Amino acid sequence: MTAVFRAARGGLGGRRLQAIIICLVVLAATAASTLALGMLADAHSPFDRAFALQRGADVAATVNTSVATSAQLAATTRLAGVTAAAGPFAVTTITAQFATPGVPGSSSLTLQIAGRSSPGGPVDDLTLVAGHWPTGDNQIVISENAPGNMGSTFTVGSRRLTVVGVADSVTNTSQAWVRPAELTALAGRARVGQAQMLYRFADAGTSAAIAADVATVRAALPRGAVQSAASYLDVRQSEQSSIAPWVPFIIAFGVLALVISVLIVVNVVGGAVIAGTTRIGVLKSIGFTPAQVVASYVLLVAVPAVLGCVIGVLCGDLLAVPLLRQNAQIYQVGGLSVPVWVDVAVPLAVLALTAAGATPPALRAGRMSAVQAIATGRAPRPKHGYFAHRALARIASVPRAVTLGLAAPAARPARTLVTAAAVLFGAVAVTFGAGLAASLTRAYADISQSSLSVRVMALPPGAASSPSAPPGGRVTGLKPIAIGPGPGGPAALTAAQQRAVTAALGAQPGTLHYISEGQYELTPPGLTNGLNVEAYGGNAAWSGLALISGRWYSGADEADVNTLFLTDTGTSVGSTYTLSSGGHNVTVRIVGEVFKPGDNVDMYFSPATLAAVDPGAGVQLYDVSLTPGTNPQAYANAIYARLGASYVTSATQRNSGVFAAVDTLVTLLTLLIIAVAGLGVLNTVALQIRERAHDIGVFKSVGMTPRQTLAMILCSVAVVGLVAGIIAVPAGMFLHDGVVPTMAHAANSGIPASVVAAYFPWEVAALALAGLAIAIAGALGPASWAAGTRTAFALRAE
Amino acid sequence: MDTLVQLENVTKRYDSGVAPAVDDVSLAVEAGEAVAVMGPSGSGKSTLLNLIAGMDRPTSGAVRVGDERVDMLSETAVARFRRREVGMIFQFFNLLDDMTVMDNVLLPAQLAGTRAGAARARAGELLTALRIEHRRDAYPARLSGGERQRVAIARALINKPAVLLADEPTGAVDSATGDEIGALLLQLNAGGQTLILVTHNPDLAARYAHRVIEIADGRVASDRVLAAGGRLPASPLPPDRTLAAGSRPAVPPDGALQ
Repeated sequence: MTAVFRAARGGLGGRRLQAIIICLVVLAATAASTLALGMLADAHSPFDRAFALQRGADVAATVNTSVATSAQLAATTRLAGVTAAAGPFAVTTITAQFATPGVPGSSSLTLQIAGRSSPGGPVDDLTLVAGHWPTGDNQIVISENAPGNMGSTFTVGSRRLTVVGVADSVTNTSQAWVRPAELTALAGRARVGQAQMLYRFADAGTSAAIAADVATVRAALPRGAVQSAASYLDVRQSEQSSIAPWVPFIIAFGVLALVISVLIVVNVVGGAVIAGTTRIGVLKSIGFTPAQVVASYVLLVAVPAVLGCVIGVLCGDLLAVPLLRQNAQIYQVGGLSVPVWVDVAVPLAVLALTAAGATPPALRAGRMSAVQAIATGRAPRPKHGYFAHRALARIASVPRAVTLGLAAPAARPARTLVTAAAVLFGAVAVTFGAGLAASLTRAYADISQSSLSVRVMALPPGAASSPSAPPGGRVTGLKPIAIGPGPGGPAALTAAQQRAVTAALGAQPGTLHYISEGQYELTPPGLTNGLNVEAYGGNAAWSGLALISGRWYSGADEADVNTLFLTDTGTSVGSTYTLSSGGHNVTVRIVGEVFKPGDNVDMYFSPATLAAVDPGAGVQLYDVSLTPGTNPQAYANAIYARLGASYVTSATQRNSGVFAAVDTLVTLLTLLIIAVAGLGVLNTVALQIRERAHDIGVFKSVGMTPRQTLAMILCSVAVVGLVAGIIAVPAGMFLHDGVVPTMAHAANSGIPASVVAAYFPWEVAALALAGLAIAIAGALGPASWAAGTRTAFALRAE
Repeated sequence: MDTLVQLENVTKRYDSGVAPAVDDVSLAVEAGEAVAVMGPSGSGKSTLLNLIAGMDRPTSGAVRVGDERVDMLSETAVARFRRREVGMIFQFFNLLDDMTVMDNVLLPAQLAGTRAGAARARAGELLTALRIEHRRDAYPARLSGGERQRVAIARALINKPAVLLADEPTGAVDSATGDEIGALLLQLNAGGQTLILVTHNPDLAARYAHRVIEIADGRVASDRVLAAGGRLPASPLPPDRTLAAGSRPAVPPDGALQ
């Protein structure tokens, strides 16, 4: 066996470039797969991991402290089934003047605040994303989901709170935190009557278990003490459903990377066998058995492959760090990492595939006759490609160096095919990645209604700039949907308020257009999770939502719905649906399918339809689109200045976290696959130069210039790259058109044609050149080397 | 006569610490001369030829061919110089296996950008003159050694080079074929083609060159003009390195190759 090792080591020394290429290819493939699978594994359970890491609250109960005493609350932490508890933390909802450094003016908003002396604790261990925990008066830490950033100020009466930190709670227990003393001071005479109790239970796996746990706590406290109890399962549900859509594309990229690396390993070992013919003959003549020859060639690959795997795993883990950090922020955890099983399974799988790729050419080496190998005395000349040379030599209008290059791929058709396949898969990844990025951008713009920049709401009477009870809270008819802080949704604006808002919006420069909105929740039979209804006043298309099919409603008897509505109710565009609320029945015809992925069942119709369903429901807010160049926060402040303290105006906060993370992942994976494909070309060209070193010397001896040499070698891969690139475009688009709807389907939605149609004609033309670009980039290094080599050296090379 | 090739104090050292392959060589070759460079294996004669052709660069010294300082040219310029001024003939022919006889011969002209018609006409003339026109569509593997070397000569001549450099042109063929090749070279020289021939065969040198330069250990050991009738004058080298004398055959009358 020592001899086999020595032979492999000797072969490796003589083929340093090939060894480096194997190492790099395996490295890149391992890194891409580790990254992809790491993200995928992470995508399966980030919430659970984050929840465990941060000891998230199974239940966050809001209790009335004027009903339950501190001792009674403390007693609940010792109840059977309670494994950990924190609190009571006093909570209140403030209405504050909000100002951001660098933006003129201020606006008003409501914010739910909890009083906590430290971010840590046995339950709901907060992660500080930036800054520090409040150390004195007038300091506040905000959640990442809350408006504002470091240095922003919230003014409540005479107290001005400055943001000194940004923290996150895995179950979003609060929008902001201050020291308990600060909360008391903020409340002033109003007295804080509410507190938050955070519990972890021994059995909290199901909604029923949670309900039983909450019932136990309720029973231990005076009647009416527990005002509300929020289960972590609701947050978990929404977080996990937002991950499912990303799985299909990560699998697509991982498979592409692995296929390319196997193709390249086949070429590398095949090339090493061809180039090492004499060596094989010598090994056999001194007594190597065929099995030992095969083993020495597999080992030749194994050494750099193992090295590449190890470094690849490290690189994959390192590349995952920034992406996981983005995920960590999305899931509000301090740190996520690639699971250990991924770090073990990926390199083993890549090594197995590499060995599978190396074995057939190594077996060929094992079968080779010793006499024939030695007698040949050099790499066997290819017997193919004569016709190509002959035919191309006749084309007088093309420089000879070019036709020489164009004929080269015909000499080794098998290698050319494998190289073309590697470039093809690389170029497919480019087309797929580019399309995916474009589709994601459009989908995000549609889903997040990115055209709506500023929101205007009214405060309930008497709530201006002082601690207040949560707004909303209608007891009959439709239930307003919580918008922004606190439980319940905003009350409908009066006709006078609506006139005031529309007058202010009409007079303010920077207004492009606006819509009025009323958002309510209905619980019709058959829709267990409820039905969200949104009434848009004005042009519904200005909502920024995209239609998958049909059109926007145009009368009181028409409505649009999202895909989940159609799925859950078994209806389709053109069907009718009857809404019932408080004795009112309204039948609407569904005229369009709206692109609104997620777990909510949504229906959109006009304010007139809303009034028919519930005469008490109405316009709650206005969403404004701005002319290009208008600063949203400055605009919000200006509107606030016009409307006065009884209104809330805010620039819309959007968390593009998941989209940004996925966008980065798409870019990284595409680049890695391009790199692998480029290395495949580099390997092919290096092999070609090695085998044709003597011919190149002859070309030079009869007057081929370095530029002609470069042109010849580049042309030898250009056609392969161009053809592969042209085939790759429809293949990549096919993959994209298959994967994107699958992703949408995983998010319970159909997909608008505008999101799937990601490719402009000029992009298609540019993408068709991706294969050529990969081929040229991969070939440039060895081609330049060959072009610069002295003629005498090249002639001696064999 | 004009000096066509001139080497001034040329040294070529491949590795420091090892004796140079060519050591301070100065020599001049006039246009129209037929010069044989002789010496034992490893004496540096092929390196000398490579330096003249610009296929390698001297460590020091100057190499002039015509008006060009070959050692000073860029790789591109030296390639252009080579295709214009130099025709190379190798011991092992160095034909390209995957190209036909015709395509091998045409290659230098095509690289030089010669019009296709003119190049083909010239190649046709050369193949006819070298009596291998009937094999124009054959691949080198199908040719005999003599035929291959004639193809190589045709390729070397297609761009009408100022100097023809032949490195052991008969080394890989039998003696009858060697005579045939030698006669061809003589015929070319008779037509005015400057010829520098590297050989370790004194008989060949004596028969086909006017002048014999002996190289030993990278240095010029002797530089002698042959007496009329091809008699090689006495060598200054010790007996074991002395080259045997030979006689020069008559120059063939055919002048088609010029």
